[in-house]
Amino acid sequence: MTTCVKISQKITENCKDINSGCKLVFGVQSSTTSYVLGCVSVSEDPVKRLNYVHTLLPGGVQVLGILSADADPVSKHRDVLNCIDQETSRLIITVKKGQTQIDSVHEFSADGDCVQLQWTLEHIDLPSICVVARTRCQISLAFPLPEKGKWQDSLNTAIENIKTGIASQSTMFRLEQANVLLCSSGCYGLPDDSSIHSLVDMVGDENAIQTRRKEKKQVTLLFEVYTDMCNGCSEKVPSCSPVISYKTGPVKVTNLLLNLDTVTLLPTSAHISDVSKGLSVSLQRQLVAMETCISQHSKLKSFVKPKSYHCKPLLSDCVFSVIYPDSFDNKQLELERKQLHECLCFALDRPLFRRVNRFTFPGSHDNTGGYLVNVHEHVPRSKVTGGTMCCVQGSYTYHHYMQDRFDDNKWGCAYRSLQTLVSWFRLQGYNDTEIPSHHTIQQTLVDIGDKEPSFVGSRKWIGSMEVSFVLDTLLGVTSKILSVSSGAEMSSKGRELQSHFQTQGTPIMIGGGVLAHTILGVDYDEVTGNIAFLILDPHYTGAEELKIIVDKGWCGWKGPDFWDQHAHYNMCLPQRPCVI
Amino acid sequence: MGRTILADDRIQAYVDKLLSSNTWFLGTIIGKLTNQKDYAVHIVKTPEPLEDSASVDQEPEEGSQNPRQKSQTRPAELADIKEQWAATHAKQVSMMLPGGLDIIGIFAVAPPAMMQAAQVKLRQILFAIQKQEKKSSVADLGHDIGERILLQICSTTRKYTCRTIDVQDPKSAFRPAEWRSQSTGERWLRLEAELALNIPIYVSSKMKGTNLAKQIQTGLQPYFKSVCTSLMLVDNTLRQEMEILDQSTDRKGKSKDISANQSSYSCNIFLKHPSSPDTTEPSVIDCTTQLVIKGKIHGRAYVIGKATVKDAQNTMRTDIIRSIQSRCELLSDDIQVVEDDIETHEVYSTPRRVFFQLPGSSLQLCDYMFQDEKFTEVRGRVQELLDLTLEEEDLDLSFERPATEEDCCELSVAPGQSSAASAEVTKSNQGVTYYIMAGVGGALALAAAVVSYLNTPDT
Repeated sequence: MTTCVKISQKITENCKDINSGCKLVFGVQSSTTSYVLGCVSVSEDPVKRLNYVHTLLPGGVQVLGILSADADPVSKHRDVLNCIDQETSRLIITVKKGQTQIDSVHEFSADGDCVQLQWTLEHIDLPSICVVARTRCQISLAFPLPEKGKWQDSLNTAIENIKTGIASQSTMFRLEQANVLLCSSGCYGLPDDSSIHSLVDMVGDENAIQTRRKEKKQVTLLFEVYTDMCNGCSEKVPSCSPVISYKTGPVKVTNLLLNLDTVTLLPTSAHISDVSKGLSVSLQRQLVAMETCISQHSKLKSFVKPKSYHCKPLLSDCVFSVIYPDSFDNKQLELERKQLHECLCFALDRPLFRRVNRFTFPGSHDNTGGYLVNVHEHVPRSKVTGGTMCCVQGSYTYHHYMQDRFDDNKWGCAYRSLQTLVSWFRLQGYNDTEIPSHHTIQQTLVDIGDKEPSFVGSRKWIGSMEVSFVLDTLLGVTSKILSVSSGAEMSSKGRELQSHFQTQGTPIMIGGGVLAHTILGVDYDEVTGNIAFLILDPHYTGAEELKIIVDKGWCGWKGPDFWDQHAHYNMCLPQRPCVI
Repeated sequence: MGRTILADDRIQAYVDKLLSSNTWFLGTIIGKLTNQKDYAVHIVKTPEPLEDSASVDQEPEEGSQNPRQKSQTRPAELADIKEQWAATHAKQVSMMLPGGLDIIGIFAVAPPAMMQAAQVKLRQILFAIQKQEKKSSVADLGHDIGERILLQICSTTRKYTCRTIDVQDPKSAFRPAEWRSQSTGERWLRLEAELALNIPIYVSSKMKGTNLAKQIQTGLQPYFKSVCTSLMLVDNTLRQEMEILDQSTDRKGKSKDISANQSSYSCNIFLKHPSSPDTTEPSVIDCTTQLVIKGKIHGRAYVIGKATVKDAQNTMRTDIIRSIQSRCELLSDDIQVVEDDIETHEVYSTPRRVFFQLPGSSLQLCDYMFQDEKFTEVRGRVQELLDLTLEEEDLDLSFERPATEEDCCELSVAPGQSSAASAEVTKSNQGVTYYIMAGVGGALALAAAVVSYLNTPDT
């Protein structure tokens, strides 16, 4: 029984066309609270849509109800409501006509009653409401190719068989980090009535990184899959000593190894007996998704290998699992991504489901080659009160003096700032260009005719214009140049910077008369004119130690007096390309 | 310091019996090697090479005849014995052993001059047995002890000379060892498991020309790997691997009341789906044969009292692999491989595992019994290969149920993963042949009558 509904505010912020038609909403249901994490556009066939959506969602996340701007959503969308699992309390969220605000939330019961529910709009932090579990296993898939007829049917039979096996009692899950085994009938290594917290507690601290919020340990439970060969499977196997079915005759058989990798979100209120069910559902969903992937992209004689990716788009609070053929590149998958964006109501203006948009699991390390990521998330707030804070969207890596075993002390600051800019485009999935070295940057400037050949290998400074040339040449990214004749004038650029971070969200390189810096955000109060700039300083020469960088202000909010009041400045504002 | 072998004192009696017959003998030693001590539980003479002894060795000797033809009569001297003959016997004996017991060496009884002349031969035999073992072993599950025992008994002086040699190292030399007879039998812990098999095998056309045993053996490899990585509950408990299996014995050693201690454990086996991503690309293979092995087997293993949980689990894993392999090998002898691309569908039943007591011990040994076989055939094999005399009531048939016609019938109509697609393929099939009884087991079984039921489903 749901008594309280929490709706991700990212739905109202980022969801396209929230006002038109009927949408399915999905989320997590704990014993008392329903968390609504996102919405899905509904095509003609709601059942088909529902099944498709579930293949994208982690186990534990399911379609909870509908969202509509229509006056009488129950009668208008009864067919959609009917295809949602009747076991869950189905939600009806109504939106004010012509607006993006939520009007009311009702619960629709099986006998047709509608009860109004309390609701709030907030940022939902998944790891704080759920325990994240990841299951990985390899399943070998072999299916015969008929000489005539469709191989898809043969594939379907094989997948259905595997699904039946996974759903059966004989499937067991072992926690990799501790000696615990879970199955549908109970668990080994822990009392049967344990809560999910006892599993989390068993996962050693050494596997978890200390997070910035020190009070909570963030871990991902890792599971392996086993099959009980003693009980459970007896229906399929005769109880006599083995018999061998021996069939000869030529047949073509496709052999595929499926690398299943699923995410399951387990509400922190969950009981240990719920875990294996949730994990099993995730695996079954992924098998369906993999079947679809193989069916759509394989040609007879040339089968694709499906691979799963877990993405947590910036525009949503939910994690999604997508399946791509391993051999396809980003370009070949564009249509696929377009469908995903449209289905999940995301604008088609930025990459969200490329392979690099992969989600970093709680407790695991970012794969960023030793560079620190998003240092600014750890700095104290700015001193501006009542301002609107706008920062870089997404992630970047911190590049500064002396990194990469390269001594650029006193001359390489603009190069380093440029590297941070490039890292943003890399991490957001726009581009997979390597972070350019000083040498590459200089060579690029020579190649385009901006500099003499002697520039390569020199210790000459570069400025905002050069940074924009390199971004254009290496990444195909154009930049806006914003100039101020003196540092004192920076205070007047508050609104322009705000607008940049809201619409573009890219880090800004600032240089000019003196030193180069990276601007990551602005906190600006339009009324008082108070302003602060979030600065990432490339002049740092020390080790990658977050504490020093934050405490000594190498990254932090700076007032307008940070700028040299008499020097002129040029800012390079990279404009993100409109791609998916 | 050399190895110490604790020998059951019944072995002494057996040697005395051999000595009384005034001729030379060669034979195998059955027991267990551990890192601390070795245990010999039984020794048995190699049978006389008689007229019709089908070699179990599947590999055809290159260009030559079967070795059995060459050694139709007993050689005059120990040194004249064919090492392949001894290896074949060792192989057949090992099929009759539960997990935890192995061929740990050989013994010879001979007068001094004959023994002296056979020194090179005895060494060759030990290496031949090792070579034979290696052919069928899958993965090392703690079988890292390469030492094998050579026990020489002088028929003149009745003196025992015991030495060991590392058969994994072709250059190794014999080391002295101590053979010590003990009257108090070692305390063995018995492990049991029921395991359901459901193994599909697709035989690639590339394997065409190889025999069925080889095809099955190759096809079983992935399954055996998963047995090696399996998780095993002991008495329905998830135990720590390094714990001592038997927690009832106190630290000081054997508790006084042995009967109060637990001596039997049940195991549950869970096969692991590998978790590291595999990079094998999808492939389409041309297959000539589709096999499915389905049914239940009884796994049996023994460990000594001090064994760890991990030892026990590995011993059980070894038994399961060996038992599946033995059954398939015994059956393969009997299946006619269709070389042309003819469409046939047949169902064969593998022999079932039966058990009998090793006299004077708590250990049980086993045999595989085809359905058309009677007690006398098992009795004959046990007599010949283990030199033990069985009475009908000694044989325990209760652990496995033989396949019935219904079991076979079910298998032919429920082809599992290939139902939809194989419709095309099987349409032309006129029927399915069930070989309820099939097979020839062991070295001296006569060709068994194959009874077949021809069944035409209503298609």
